[in-house]
Amino acid sequence: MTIETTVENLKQRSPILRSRILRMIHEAGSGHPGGSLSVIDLLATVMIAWGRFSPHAVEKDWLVLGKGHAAPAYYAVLCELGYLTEEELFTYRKADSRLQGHPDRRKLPAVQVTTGHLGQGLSIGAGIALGEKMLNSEKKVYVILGDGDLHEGQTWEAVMASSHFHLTNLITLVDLNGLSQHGKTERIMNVEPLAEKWKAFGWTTISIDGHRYEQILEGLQEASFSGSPTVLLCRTIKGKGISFMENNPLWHSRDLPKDLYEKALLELGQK
Amino acid sequence: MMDPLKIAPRDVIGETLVEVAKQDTRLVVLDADLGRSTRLTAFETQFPERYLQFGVAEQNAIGFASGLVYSGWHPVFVTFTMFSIGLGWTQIRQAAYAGLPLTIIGTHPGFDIGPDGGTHQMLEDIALARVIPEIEVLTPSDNLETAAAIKQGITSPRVTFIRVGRHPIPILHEPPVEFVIGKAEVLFQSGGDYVLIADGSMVYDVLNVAKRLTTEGHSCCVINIRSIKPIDEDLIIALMGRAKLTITIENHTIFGGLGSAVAEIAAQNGRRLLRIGSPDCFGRSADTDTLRHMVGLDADSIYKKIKQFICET
Repeated sequence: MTIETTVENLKQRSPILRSRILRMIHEAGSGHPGGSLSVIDLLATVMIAWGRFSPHAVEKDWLVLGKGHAAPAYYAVLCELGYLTEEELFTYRKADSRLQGHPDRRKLPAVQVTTGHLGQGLSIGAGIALGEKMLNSEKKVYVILGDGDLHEGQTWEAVMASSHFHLTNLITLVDLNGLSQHGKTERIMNVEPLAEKWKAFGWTTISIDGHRYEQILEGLQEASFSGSPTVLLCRTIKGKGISFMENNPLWHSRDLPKDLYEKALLELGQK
Repeated sequence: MMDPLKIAPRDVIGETLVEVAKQDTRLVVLDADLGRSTRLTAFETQFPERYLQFGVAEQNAIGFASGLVYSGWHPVFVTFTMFSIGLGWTQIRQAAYAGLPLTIIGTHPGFDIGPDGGTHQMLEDIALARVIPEIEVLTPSDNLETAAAIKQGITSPRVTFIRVGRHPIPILHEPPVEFVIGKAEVLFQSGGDYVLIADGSMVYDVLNVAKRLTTEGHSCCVINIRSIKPIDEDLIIALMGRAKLTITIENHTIFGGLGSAVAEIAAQNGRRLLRIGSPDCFGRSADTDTLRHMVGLDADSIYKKIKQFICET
């Protein structure tokens, strides 16, 4: 499949994936729409178009959703891959559901790694990468972080340790939507200059637009030849795709009432 | 009479891990720059490729340990208990939540790290560990039991926290030691009026207390608790049901640890309980024996507290 076809397919699926996120949160009456919509293009590219994540894959790569609150985006992609039915998606956050507020591998085996506490995802992903390296396996580990993960000191311990252990099989994608729950990241706690920081820690650092599929694919391609762990610093828009959510921190964690839900679906051409 | 030979339980950690690693090719040991103090040198020498050094970054080490479980390894993280349970509580909780088999060995518990002072004296670790659902909390007494506990912990499908003493105590067991998680051991029994339940290195002093009480005509028994979670509720209920008094003795604050775990059982069964341990205050620099004496955790002080109760009733 050419890169153009892959990008075209992803573009076609984008409104469907986004509408799944919105419906899950609408039905649940709570959730994290902003960060799910900023990360969905990264997740879709890694899991659908690039890595080995199909239920039929003989050998699977690893996905660690460090920013576990973006679970709706993860579930939307797992549904796309055939792990979940559309019906089950709408049990999200409800009693007896396998779809917990944050991904839980014991409830839902399609979830490879249980996550949710910001700051812990990269250590866990790097530990998997170290384990795979010690087994001489070809598996890659993709860790998806958010701005908030970069506030946590543990993330930087893991950044340091990953280059120390030469984890060339580790690829981190940072969903930099620039908004934390309480406002702009630069005001809450400035994390810049990020490219310089990751580079100083010994990582191959690639800066891209996290909503441009061809750029994500090119970044992943470059990462696969890297002689060090690689980070894709992905500039994204919180709430991407829904006009009234974009760049508005109020949509970090919020209910999506019926009128706004329908308005959002209209914007996606899904109503 | 000559003093019996005393051995610090921590001294067996490295050699026990070497023994396990010879059979278990997936065993890996994680260190946070304290390997000499936690006696990992033997393992580092024999299995350098399975000895993973993380520097002074314990939270990251626990995260890596979880990742190593996911990719099929059997990690054992060894450091001072202040820095494993103390610094890495949410990381350990997350591993338990995810249902990962992970072994944490916490050394230098309670007053065992005496001269380093109150900053490092971890008197709250059992309390912190045992509130986490599904976790196992083991407190072996002597060196042989410590080796057996480590072997059990590694094969357990859960997160297992093993509290290992630095304070030397005599060998209390004959090999081979059978260690079953959730089962306590009756180490001494002259009768059932006074049930003394002790953890870790306190067991030796408590044995001497029980023998002294026995020579004075009091019938008593000593339970080496070994596993604080799960706790041997059946044995405790059976013994405390016939006793005049149950006494817990622990190298830990009296809040949240062994005393509290037994108090939960005693309260449900309407039995009297005396808790002996560190009071609700921080420690300070001194050698371990002096500190224990200062808070009433030496054999003589324990004896006097129990005698006082006997005289008052």
